[in-house]
Amino acid sequence: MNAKDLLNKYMYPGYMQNVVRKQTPYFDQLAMVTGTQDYFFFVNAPAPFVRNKQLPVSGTEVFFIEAISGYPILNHITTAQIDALNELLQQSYLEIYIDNRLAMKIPGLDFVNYQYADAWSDQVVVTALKTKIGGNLNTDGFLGRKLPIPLVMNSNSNFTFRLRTTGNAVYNGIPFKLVLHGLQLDKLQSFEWDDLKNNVLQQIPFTFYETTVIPNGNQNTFPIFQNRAIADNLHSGTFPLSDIETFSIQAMEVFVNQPDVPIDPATIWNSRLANELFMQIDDRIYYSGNLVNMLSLVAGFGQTLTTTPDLDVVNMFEKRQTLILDVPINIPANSKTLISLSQPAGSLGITGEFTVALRGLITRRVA
Amino acid sequence: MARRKSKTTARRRSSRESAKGFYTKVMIDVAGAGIATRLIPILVNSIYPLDPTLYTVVGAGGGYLAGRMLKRPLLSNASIALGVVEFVAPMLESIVGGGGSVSPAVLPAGVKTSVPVPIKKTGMVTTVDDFFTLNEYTNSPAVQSNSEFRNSY
Repeated sequence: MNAKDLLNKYMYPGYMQNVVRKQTPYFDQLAMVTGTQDYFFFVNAPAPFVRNKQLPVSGTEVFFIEAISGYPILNHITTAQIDALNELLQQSYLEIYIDNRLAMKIPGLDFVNYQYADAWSDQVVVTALKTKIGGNLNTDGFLGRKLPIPLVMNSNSNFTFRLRTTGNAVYNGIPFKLVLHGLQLDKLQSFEWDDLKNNVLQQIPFTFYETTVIPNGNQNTFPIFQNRAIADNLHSGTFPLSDIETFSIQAMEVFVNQPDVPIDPATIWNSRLANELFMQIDDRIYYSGNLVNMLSLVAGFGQTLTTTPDLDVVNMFEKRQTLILDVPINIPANSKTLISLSQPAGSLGITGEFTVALRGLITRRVA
Repeated sequence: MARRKSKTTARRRSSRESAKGFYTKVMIDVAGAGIATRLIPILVNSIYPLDPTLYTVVGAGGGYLAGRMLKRPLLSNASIALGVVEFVAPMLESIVGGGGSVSPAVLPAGVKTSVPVPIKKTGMVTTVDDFFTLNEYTNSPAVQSNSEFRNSY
């Protein structure tokens, strides 16, 4: 066997032998419409520059989803657009079903990236300055939701990707691009990746999130993940967990937005830093601390300058940070779990909302 | 005379099997052959890269030699038998047919980790390893440590 044949033997898959690994994303783009809340991705046929994949994958392919990101193609430069963005981050979610069982429900906070800029306007003309891209910032600079355990897409699995939004009119006609980052495996014969084998327990990445309205600035303790009756788009689950699952918290973020009547975001930031997050599991205190290292904020504030030429100015404030736990906080099945956020008197950001996001892994019984 | 014979016979029987019928020596030798056929190719490959088609041969041969050196003929024979099974099994599977997962005829399942080993090697292909047969991983329900999940956020 000469050198060329030897090398080609490794480069191309042989029957019943090799697998070719390719790092390739799957992307799909849908235009949002006022009042339409649900968008389903990867159901239409591929089209140039719009989508490169229609599910399911073929029998000779397996795709590992390692990260997810989304992007509304709009430069957010007004407080109305930031308000719509806040709804996309805190009151919208991406739901992934595999074979009719929920695999992930993540808020927009986790995976939506956004473009924003300070803006100056003189009567009619609007100038955007210092345009930036923001999103859930990971330690390696990636913007989006990375998965500590990949989701495996086999050809014989039924996958559903549903984006639920509030249908805000600001995004009417705006394209939303969803990207699945990962690794595709090809063989010459049909195959599937069986990650369960004979296990009865399965691990999936998950985000427990809940969005709560800030009604006033009084000292208050907000219970989190306790009320099953709140709207479906405002939370992804409650405690206690069922008896067939446990949850390991690996990272945490508390996100605050722009109030209905915008105020200076710097004031909101300084006020929210003093809030305290409290976690108690089975009568043991597992976390009690302020939000210094996990507070995030996206807000805009408009002002009209009173000196000629009387410009209208919109200042944007964007800061994203996530606390990665050195020791994960494990919540057992059926445990007595109390999670709350407390604010002192004189708090600001009234009529805005805050979202507590706990990211980690659920271990659950398969059947 | 008759008494001595029955004592000897009784001693021989007790050394071969326990009261419940387990051949402990056989079990140990066959288990050792299984471990040898799986571990020896990995050890050799770490020193001298092997063609994947040779893994089975190296595993069986290594197990045979180990049995000879340890003076355990059962281990040697079991290694050869397991090597034959690993060689023939994929062909039989394709005859019996159907989809299902394709077991690699070479490297074993390896260590169970929460994240599959091949996923760590993302990005452009830089080594021949990227085209080797799948190392199958099993979804492990163990709690991940910080070193495992830190790069995921």
